[in-house]
Amino acid sequence: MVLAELGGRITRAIQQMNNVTIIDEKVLNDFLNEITRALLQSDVSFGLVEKMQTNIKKIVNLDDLAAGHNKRLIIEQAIFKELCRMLDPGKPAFAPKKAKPSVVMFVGLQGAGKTTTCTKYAYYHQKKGYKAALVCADTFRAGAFDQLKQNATKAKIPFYGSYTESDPVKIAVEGVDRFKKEKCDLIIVDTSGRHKQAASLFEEMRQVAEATEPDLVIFVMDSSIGQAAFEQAEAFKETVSVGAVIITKMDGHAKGGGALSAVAATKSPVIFIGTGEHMDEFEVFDVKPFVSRLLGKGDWSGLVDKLQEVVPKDLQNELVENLSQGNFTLRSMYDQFQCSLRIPLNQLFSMLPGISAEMMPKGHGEESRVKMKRYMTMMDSMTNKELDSPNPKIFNESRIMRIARGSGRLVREVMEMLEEYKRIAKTMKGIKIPKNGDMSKVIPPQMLKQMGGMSGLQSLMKQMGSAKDMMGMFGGGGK
Amino acid sequence: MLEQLLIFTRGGLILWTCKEIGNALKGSPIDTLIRSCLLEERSGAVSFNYDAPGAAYTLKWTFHNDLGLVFVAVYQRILHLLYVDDLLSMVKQSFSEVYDPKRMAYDDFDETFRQLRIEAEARAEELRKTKQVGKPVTSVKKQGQVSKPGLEGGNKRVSSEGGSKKDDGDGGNKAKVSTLTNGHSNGNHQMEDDSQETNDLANGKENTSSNVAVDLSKLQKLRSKGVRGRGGVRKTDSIGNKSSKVAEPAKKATKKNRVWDDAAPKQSKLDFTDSIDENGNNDHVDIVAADQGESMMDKEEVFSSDSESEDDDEPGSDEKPAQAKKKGWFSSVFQSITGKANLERTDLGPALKALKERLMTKNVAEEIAEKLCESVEASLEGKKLSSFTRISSTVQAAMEDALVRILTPRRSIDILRDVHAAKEQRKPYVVVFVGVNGVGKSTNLAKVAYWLQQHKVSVMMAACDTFRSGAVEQLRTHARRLQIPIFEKGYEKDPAVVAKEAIQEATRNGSDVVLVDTAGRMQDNEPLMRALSKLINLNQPDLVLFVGEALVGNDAVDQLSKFNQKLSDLSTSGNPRLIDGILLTKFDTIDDKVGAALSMVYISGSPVMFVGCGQSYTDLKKLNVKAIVKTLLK
Repeated sequence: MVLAELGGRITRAIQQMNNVTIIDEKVLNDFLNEITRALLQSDVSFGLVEKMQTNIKKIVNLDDLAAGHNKRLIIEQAIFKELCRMLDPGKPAFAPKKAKPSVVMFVGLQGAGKTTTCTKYAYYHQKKGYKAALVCADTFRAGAFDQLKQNATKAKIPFYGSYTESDPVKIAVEGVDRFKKEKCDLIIVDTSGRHKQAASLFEEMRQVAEATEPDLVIFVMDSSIGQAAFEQAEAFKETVSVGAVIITKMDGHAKGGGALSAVAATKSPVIFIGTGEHMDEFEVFDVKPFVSRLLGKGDWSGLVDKLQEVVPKDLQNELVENLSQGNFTLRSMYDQFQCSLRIPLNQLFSMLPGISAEMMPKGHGEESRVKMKRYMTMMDSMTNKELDSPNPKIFNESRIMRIARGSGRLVREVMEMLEEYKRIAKTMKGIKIPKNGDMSKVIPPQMLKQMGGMSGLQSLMKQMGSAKDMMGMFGGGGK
Repeated sequence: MLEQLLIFTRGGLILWTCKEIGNALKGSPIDTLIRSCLLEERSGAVSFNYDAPGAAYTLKWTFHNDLGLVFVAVYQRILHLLYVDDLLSMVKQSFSEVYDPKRMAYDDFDETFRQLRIEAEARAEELRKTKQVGKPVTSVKKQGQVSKPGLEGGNKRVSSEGGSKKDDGDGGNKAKVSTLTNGHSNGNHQMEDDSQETNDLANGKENTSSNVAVDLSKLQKLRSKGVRGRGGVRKTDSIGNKSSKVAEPAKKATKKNRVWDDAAPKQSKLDFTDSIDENGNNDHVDIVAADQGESMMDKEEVFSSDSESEDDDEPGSDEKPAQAKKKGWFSSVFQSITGKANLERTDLGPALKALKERLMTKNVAEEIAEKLCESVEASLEGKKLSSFTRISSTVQAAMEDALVRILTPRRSIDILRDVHAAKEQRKPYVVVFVGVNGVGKSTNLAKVAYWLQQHKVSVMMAACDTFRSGAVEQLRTHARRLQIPIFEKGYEKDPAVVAKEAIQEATRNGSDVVLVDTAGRMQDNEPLMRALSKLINLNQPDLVLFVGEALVGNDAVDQLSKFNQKLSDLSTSGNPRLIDGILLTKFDTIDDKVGAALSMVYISGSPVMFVGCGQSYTDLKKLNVKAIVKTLLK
């Protein structure tokens, strides 16, 4: 997951502190030194780290005056609070409204990933029901319009640009006007990369902003940038009124401290993080769930949001109905695979507590995806009778041969799929969903403990509307 | 046993070797130590491992900084000699007493060394015996066995058995903890539903034998066990049956064809661009871009800081003879005035800490800054402080020397000469540009092409980025502007095969250089790194250039080490191709935070061959080592 190394080091420092019998000034100093070193190795700027250290000492000292307080809990909460403070400027970003045109302008350094992020941003909002459009105002870099054109074509988003016009202000104005006439409610302007040492380019950026009057200016930043991040972000802020930040390339081993510097310099919230090159590797950024995930506590609300986004509502009820009757068919497995293909598995697993991000190497989720696609291809060759039958004995040798020929797979692979189906069906059969919504008997004890016991489960239930949705989606997410 | 012990000066003069040990060393471990470790400011490390066919040595060393001496010991790695550190310390102390800068031979030191060696071995033996005396008591308590104190092998066996017993005990403790945890959880179940008591007991029995589940696969297994504990299939009620029957006809009618993409209805029109003829303007661009002047690669940079440096050197040389004269007459007086004989570790600490923080604010990676300070500390410890000199200035001078040594290339980075050599062999010189996303590989590839063109070298581009949108068009645009042939096969192709065909095409056409552009990739992305390794193994390029941006922070260490590691691990031959050089881009965006260059060179050992400092074709230059060092330390 994001910032795995930083999170691991902070968590280990907290655990080491918990092993100490008595917490005195020396233990606190050693603990803070370790936290400081981890943050500096993540490219957080010096000033921010020193400020955090001072604040934590102040909090702990103040709390020491009150007798009987748990010092460990106080220190841990202080860390959580300070990390949230670093990442949260305290004001929300502009949110586009439907049926009302909004202009969003993307700015940033060269190679930060603006064009990719523009397309992801448009794709994300298109899935939410917006009518999004892209305008390519990057007339400088070779191949920029081709890049945006290909991205937009893949994501099925309307775009505007030009091979011949070299004035970005003109293209931006024409594109925005054109899409306003087309009744698009989210118009995204992509600009070329620039940096503060090139004053003429910053002047050009200011002109584009004046001409298009964007409702939101988003600063895109690469997460691997070091100590120069603060100054660059500050320079962008001084030229245009940056209203939000998106951090890209968080899928590597990048340290991500640039995110903290960018927030401090622009005083704008981080709204998304990019974690890959594909359109769906794009995550909404919430400070508290992020820090909670960073410290190894998981992110249940993110998990629920992700699953609800993917599973259609009418399908949820149908899945739960089948599961309630102990009726898990190949069609049920098919539907779950279909839902799972829309979730990047790495994102899903990183939201589960107790599953370390380091256990999920990059590219592992892709293999599961390929396997699911293969299974779905085989199931496309089955008849309705075969898909709906609760009894796997219906598959005799001639049926298996027909399915293998129809889907172009080996007979052995078809049999492997049937074995996997039997195993999943056996697991699902044991899960009964009680009428009163008592979930504790369904979930394994270790997982219940990880979620924080009964109180954690109850708070989770509040976030969801129904227990049945949970079970239906859990099966899909498990793959 | 000890293979060799060597004493030489920092200037390279060998003063003494151990003649008793007549073994000839296989390979050249000491040369490799000097080249790889001491000269590259890694002398803060504990030891150095040397691997060669038929040899596996460990080398340890110590310095006498005041006299400028180096002491190196070599022994077989498998032996793990414990007394070598003590031996080196004693030899250093004894040799410094007899050392005279004018003497070239120290044959009489042989006897002294023999005594020191016997003493060190005896001390190590005593230490071992002391441990043996302690061992029997412990082993009796653990196993009730009688050990044989005299036998070294027996002692080892006792130790290993004790260790294994400890492990068994720990396992038992873990099992107990696991049992308690599971029992507690099952207790919760019982309190909630009494009617499930029998099943819960069954669950408890099964869970007792299992470990605490950590990952998802184990959770699946637990669910399976839970299924067994809960008994058979439940009855389906009649309402469910009726509902299912009613639903069946509907399902049969609704089977659809597979659409792999999200089945959003396709919009009739995506391209809202005004249609204009595309070709006219490109010709115009050709005329404009064909000649932008001479590349900065051929210009020698002139810095005002150079003149400042000369000014600094001049007064020092003037003062030197006066100082020597004074020291001769009043050395005791000045010694008492300074009040400091030799530099100690505690003296260097604050100055080095301040220096490390300064390096980190200049964007040097924290790990690299730490190692550099350790190395400088090792080289300064024990050295006599010059008169009227502050510790911080001494430390700064030592760091400056270290940085210059690291950043100065140790081998030729003259690509033009290599190109001409390859030309005589009638095969193209192949350069592969690798790196993470967004660092400017394609842009700087075009700059290198422009620079090579200015030196009358015929260049071909190979578009092996078959993944990213717009990558082929980007390179095609550069090729058109520079009037360079480009070889490309579009998208969704195997980059290794495209590169191979490009090289064949270049051989047929007689191109001198092939510049291979690759897709950007994260260093942790295993499939993409495997594809890159395949490209390099298949095509065996003459130069592998890592393109890194100067803005990068601590991630530079991870990027370069992982790129090199992947190229090494996935190589098909015994001699893996690693990164040969670094192309540092976006140098104009960092002002004085130039530390990324140092981080990259230190971690990879490869020189910076090009520096990109803008977006036009002429913005390519050489790395100015003096300017970098001055900026880092000011």
